[in-house]
Amino acid sequence: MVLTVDFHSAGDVVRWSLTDDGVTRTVHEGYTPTLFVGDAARDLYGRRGGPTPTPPDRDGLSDSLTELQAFLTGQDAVANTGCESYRQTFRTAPRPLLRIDAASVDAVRQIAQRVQQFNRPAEYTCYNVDLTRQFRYCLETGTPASPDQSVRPLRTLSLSIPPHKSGPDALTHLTIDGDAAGQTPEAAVTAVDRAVRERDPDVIVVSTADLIPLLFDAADTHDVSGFELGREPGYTKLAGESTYTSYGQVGHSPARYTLPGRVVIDESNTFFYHEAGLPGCLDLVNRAGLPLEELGWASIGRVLTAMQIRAARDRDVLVPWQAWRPELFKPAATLDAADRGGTTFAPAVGVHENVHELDFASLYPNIIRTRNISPETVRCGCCDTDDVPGLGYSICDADGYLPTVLGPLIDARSRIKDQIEETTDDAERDRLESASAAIKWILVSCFGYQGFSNAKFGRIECHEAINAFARDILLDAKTALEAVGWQVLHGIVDSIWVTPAPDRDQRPLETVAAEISADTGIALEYESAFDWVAFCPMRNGDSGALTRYFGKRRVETTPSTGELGDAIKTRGIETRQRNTPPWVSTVQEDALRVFDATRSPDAVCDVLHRHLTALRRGDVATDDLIVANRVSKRADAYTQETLTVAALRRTQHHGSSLAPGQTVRYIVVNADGRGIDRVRLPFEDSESYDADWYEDAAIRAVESIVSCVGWDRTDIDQYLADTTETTLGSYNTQP
Amino acid sequence: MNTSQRQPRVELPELDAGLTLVDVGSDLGVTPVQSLLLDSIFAGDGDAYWVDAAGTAQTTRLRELAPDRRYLHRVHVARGFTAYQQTSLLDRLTGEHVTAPSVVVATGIDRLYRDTDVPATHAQDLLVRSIAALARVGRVHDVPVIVTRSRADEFTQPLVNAAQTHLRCEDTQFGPRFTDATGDVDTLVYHLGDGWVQTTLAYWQEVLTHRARMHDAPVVGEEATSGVV
Ligand SMILES: [Zn+2]
Repeated sequence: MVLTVDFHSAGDVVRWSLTDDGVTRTVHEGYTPTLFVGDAARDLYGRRGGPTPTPPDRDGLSDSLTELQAFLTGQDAVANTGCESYRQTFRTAPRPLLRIDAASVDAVRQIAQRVQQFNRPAEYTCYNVDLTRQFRYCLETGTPASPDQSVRPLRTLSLSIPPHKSGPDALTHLTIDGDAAGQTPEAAVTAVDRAVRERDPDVIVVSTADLIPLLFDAADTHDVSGFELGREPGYTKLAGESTYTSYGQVGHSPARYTLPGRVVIDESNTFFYHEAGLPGCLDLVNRAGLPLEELGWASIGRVLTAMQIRAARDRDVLVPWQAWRPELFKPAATLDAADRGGTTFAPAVGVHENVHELDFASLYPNIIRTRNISPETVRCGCCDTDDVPGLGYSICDADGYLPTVLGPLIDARSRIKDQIEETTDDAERDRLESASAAIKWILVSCFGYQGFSNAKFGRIECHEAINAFARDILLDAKTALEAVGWQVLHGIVDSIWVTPAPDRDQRPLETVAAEISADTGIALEYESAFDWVAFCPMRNGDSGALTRYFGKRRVETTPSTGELGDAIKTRGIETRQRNTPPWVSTVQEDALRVFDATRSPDAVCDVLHRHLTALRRGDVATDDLIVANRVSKRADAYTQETLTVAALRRTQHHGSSLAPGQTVRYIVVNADGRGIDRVRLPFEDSESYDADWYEDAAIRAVESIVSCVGWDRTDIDQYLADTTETTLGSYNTQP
Repeated sequence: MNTSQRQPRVELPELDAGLTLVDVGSDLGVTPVQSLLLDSIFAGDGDAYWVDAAGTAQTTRLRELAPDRRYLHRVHVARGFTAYQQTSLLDRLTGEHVTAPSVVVATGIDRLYRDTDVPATHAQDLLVRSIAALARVGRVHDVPVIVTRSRADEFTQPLVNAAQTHLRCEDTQFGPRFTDATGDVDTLVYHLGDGWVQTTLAYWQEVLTHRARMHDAPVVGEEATSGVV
């Protein structure tokens, strides 16, 4: 079991494992990673392609593969070549392929590119090319990817600088585990050096990976002798900062660094560490077999892919490099049915009393599992059955591999949920909740990922089939509920809201839910009873508005101040959105509270009026007006001059920059102004703000609430104008 | 449709077997190409095969255009989402699963090869290979092959060279017009005359209804000669 794996340019690999008091270091000399090259794309996917590819029979390597072998033999990047049989797809038998052992991990891609340029285009298909290095090593050598925590728990050290600081001076703001490191760059570097020596951490969490070269450079400048962050000298840059375009989207990935013998987690470039903390990450390392450092920066898709690759390997299937496998031809009529999109009933817009919500548990993963949906089972070509509702696709009788990947995750998550219920130990509960959060993300993303074009083993037909089953299941549930006296108010993907149908007797919901669960094979769970639920109407030009709603849970008492807690459930409205300024959230939550108490749009607008008066008076603290937006691209890549762009430019103006994926925070001071003067950054301690802009935001947040009783912006404006007049009038008549 | 007493003259260009490159004015979208596709089905016995790399194979417009919903069963669609998938699909058009088409359409043939995950030199090779594959489709099945591109530039010049016919479809004040560089083709689809103000959709729907009638192909609401169109 390993903590981390280092790769030396000479080809040697160093493995680090935990011991009671530190780590052991094992050198693996002459590790040669392996890739494979197989038949021409046309033989698998082109002319001979179809549900089950029929490449021509052969015993050894084809002439063209032999030619390639001769070309590669003797090249520096190549350690060895040979012929070995593997399966190129889930639907083909093992075939003799060209095996290439690369001289080092860096040589793998180089070789693949040479193969791509050799001979005619599309002459070869390459396998096991783009695996991350630590993952590849564990996979190829059978090394378990997780550190052995039964030896001792991991030691971590956290180094952080504020997001708006960069360059050597930023080090004067450096904190070590939250404590200031030193007032000069030299003092900070010395303090880091001491902390690293004393603590000997296994994991170093940095607020930005740029800290690593910054610290080494400063140590150099200030002659801090013997400065090290790793367990051996130096550091390695694994990837440069890069911007790329893929299918019309501009993406950005920050530079990545690693330290010998330690795991680096970059807080500005991690999904799972943010969502699930270190315990959740470690739990997932175990399940996915993706080593901790790589899991740190991995997307959900990458983790899911790692699991799929392991499952494929169990079946002797290699990992395709490029996505050659296309969808099968289908009648436009079928595509038309498949394209109907997600399952949403048109909701009964407005406020409804006495509402119950029922949810299908992990609907999409359970559909995959119970309906045997997998890239090699949908439209399999060997079974002529009509299995997918509305589309007529067959699903193979043979067990698909995707259910075997997701099944254990579904079970693990429900087991963890049970344990959370049972445990009385707070630390244990935290650990369990972290683990649950990490798994949840994999489960909620597995459906979308099936439709992602570059997904290894992804297939659009799986995506369509899952959607078709989901639609069918929700419609069946609706029919079953209506048959026993319930009126269905709304349904979205996996949730259904019902209320007793007037003048009818109802079968108890628990009973109906159990019947539906038995019929569909997927548990329909009782989520909550609501005193009332309001479904918001569509906003102009906003097609996603069918998912905006809020409701008051029965039993729970609404807290009189502060956050609403569990008493009122909200989805899709401003207070749920991360970028909403705290003050706007407060206005909306106060509005919800008053709406719950009075159900009166007038009373809600009175709340708004009170808040706006305070805003106009300048009584709102600027901290409560901070807008936090996730950066989606570099400042110069934006084409529109939005406030976020102004804030990004202002950040640059202060000598710092934010990478896509990070969050920019700002206060709007003059929305109609020009350039970087439209906003201030939080650390600039601005006293003023743009009251018009925040007023507009508050009115929109209140409009979300009162829209469910038919009020729109005009009604709110009119009410506010009348109120202001009344207030002024009463003021003037005062003696 | 008895909006006009006189029998309107509705024309679409006659397509020969082989590659026809169609450059469509951006405001017309994929509709003229879908119209040519449907028109070929009216006239022929075979089905249409459509490989889309432009993200335009949404069926809503095709459904709206088709004079009868049953035509949607005679259009076989496959979408390439990566340059490599598209390359496979164009090869597959001459495979055993594609039998006796009446027309083949490839939209946005260059688009995916422009992605940065395809190295530039390799991209040019793959594009040329795809053009050759389409030319082969025309020869093997002896049918018209309609191709569109996402951009007219140096990169797609090999397509211009390979195409037997190069049509432009532009919106004029009298309605959409197909022309070719040599002047051999000049087809004003349907003279709008005075006072005709219609949406693009209604315009093409009317065009296709007339074309279907011309070929004695079924139109919704009419008695179909048989259950199969
Ligand atoms: Zn089968």
